[in-house]
Amino acid sequence: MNGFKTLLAGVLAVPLGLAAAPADAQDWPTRQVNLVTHSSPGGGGDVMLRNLAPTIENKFGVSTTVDNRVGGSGAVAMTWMATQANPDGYTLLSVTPTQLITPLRAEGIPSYEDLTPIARLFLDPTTLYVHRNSPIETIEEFLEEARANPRGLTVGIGSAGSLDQLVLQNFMAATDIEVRTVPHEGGGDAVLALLGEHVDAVVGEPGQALTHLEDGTLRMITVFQDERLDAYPDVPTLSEVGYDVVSNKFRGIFGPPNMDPDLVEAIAEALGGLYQDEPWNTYWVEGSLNPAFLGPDDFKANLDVANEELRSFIESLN
Amino acid sequence: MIDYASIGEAFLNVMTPYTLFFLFLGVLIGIVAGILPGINGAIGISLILPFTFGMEPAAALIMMLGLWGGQNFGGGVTAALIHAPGAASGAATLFDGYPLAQKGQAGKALGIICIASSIGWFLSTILLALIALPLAAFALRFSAPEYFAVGIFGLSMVASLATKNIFKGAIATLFGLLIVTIGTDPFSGLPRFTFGRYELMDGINFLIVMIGVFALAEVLVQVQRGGVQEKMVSFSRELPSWPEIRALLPVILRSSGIGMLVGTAPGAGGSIAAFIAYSEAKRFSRKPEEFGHGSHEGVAAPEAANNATEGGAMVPLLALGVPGSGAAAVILAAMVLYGLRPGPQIFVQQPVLVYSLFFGLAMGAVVLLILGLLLTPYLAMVMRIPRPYLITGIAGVAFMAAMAITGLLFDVRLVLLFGVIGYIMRRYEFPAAPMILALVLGFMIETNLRRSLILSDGDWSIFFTRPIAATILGLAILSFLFPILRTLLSRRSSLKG
Repeated sequence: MNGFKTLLAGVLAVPLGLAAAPADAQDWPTRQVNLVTHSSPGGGGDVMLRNLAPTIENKFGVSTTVDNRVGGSGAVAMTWMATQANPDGYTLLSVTPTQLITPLRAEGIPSYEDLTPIARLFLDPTTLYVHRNSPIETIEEFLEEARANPRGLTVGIGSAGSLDQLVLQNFMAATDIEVRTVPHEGGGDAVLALLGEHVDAVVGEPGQALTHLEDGTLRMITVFQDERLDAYPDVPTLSEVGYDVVSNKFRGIFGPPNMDPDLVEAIAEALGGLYQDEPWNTYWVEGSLNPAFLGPDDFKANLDVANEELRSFIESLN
Repeated sequence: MIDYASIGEAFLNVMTPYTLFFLFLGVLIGIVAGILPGINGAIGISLILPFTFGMEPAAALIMMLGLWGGQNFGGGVTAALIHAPGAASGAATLFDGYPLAQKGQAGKALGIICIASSIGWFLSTILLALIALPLAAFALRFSAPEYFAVGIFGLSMVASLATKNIFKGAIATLFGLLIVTIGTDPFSGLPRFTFGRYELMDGINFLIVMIGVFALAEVLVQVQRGGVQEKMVSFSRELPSWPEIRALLPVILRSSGIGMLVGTAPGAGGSIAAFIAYSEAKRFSRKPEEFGHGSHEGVAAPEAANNATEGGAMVPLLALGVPGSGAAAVILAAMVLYGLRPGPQIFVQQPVLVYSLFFGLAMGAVVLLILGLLLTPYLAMVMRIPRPYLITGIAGVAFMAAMAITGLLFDVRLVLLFGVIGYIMRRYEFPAAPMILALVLGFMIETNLRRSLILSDGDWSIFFTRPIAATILGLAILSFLFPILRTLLSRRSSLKG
């Protein structure tokens, strides 16, 4: 059903996208770009923008600022974008599924429909990993153990109500197993718990455990996406063992409401052309992100689908 | 085994005018950042980050480490001078630093803050260099029950912070714990007690509460005291004497150890370390009655501890690649930007860089000592400002700080609310310190209690069957009963006498 919706949305989006393709392409950027994030300094969105900023400066010769509008799990930044920001294309917000989840959790917060989705840039791969000392070597063994011992395994996640928890829930439902979900105060803490062997496995991004996955302290056993990761060619996707659970942990850019569609296209195009520039390139390669560019219309269609799935997930938490 | 060549090279790297200049600059910016309310280490470091792109990674990182340490000192300075910590880590310095400065000994208060900070910083660096890897391995043995036990141990200090009336202390503690429940339920991800306000979804920043309860409440108390004509307290810029410093060495040593250990635990950080060190100093002091009235030990303990957490926080950062605090997270992000990969291998692959960081940290402590003592007489001049101007200024700073932390007008109103609450508490002699302690520890206690019970599948014995957790909980019970027993015993003996 969801797949059909995506397809339909995609089919509808293609002609729209073509129609919006500007006859006289707008020049962007020609002056200072203000990049807004809900992350505090050092957080995921902040680090992303602090890599994007110098890349834009190098390539286009304009200056940039990074603006941390922290608070309300992203609500502060979303509200500011929806009500205060100028839709001239020079104030942009970095987004992750948090910007979908927060408006679903509480009333009165602007949602993605109140802003202008510009481009999806990356997908963060979601993976399952265990400790080197674990007797579990493969995803099949993990499933066997979980079936033999319902609620016996503990699986750490970064935080409650996050996309990682949704993936874990979908994983349990699809494979008909039950494990105990252990939320932490962020992905780094979950990795620490696994390093100390206090939990049996962690669902999360490889980026948060990079050095430990590389030196073999932690062992990745499956990937929740359509294709294997380039950096881990030996780790099977979950669909290879017969279950279809794919995470949609996107990273993208929104603008304020009421932007000129030509301008939106121009920004999307400019951002989509940065993948090979430095330090952007180093940032996503080191972080194991998958470039997954979607223009404004495809991104919007993708968000519609993701939002429905998250809505039922948030309702299930209540 | 010991790589002398790398150590030598690192030493020469750090001792260049280039690196020392940036270290000096980092510490200076850090002191200013610490004094400016609302600018913490993480924000300060991310502000200078863009300027470091062209620099050598080692020098850039050393500059950031210098900023981090200087910021801890600056936070203590404002706590002592204007009753408002400029950074969260300075919270516990306020209890004795402010009374000491009010007694006219501002120079001594700042001098002790500077010396204790520098020594704590220096010692934790040495410990870090010696035992980073084994310590990281030990820290990994800490799981939810252990962190819960540490939180309870911290909370047991309420008994020694609330000396006058243990029941009022308990009420203040519970009030603090209630405030912590506002925000997002960490185990369902849903908002709780937010009254429909999205500004409350991340909870109430404890710096906001502190600025209200301490700085603004102080302003209200002073205003009521009136006496515009009143002469300003005379003050001395005199620094502490050598015998005074020597007498503080044991307390500084012990507090540095506490700070180092607490800093190693991710998420605990400078303010928790400072509180634990303060309470331990009081427990071991020969003059516990001086605490709260300008005790030198009460100033030295939290400052040594909060600077020592920096060396401690470098342990998980370097050895595990896990940041234990906001400032550490920015430094980790910077390291990744420079193409460095913190983790156990960095000690093998980049020994020169790692040793350079150690030497840079150690030199940072020396720089702080020099800079801090040079600046102290000028900083202490704040005390010369006539009281009406000073308290007006403090009120302004309090609201500005609220604005600087989040940029939300909502938080400015919160500061006002907590200022009034703080005033009422002062009026009816409810101690504010236990409330702040509960705010600092509440989240850690709640999440780790609930996480422990998920890990044990609802079995409470997890807290008694794990040796480390059980030991810490046992200490917590003793530490809770100790001040009460001592009061009872001294009463009995005085009755007999």
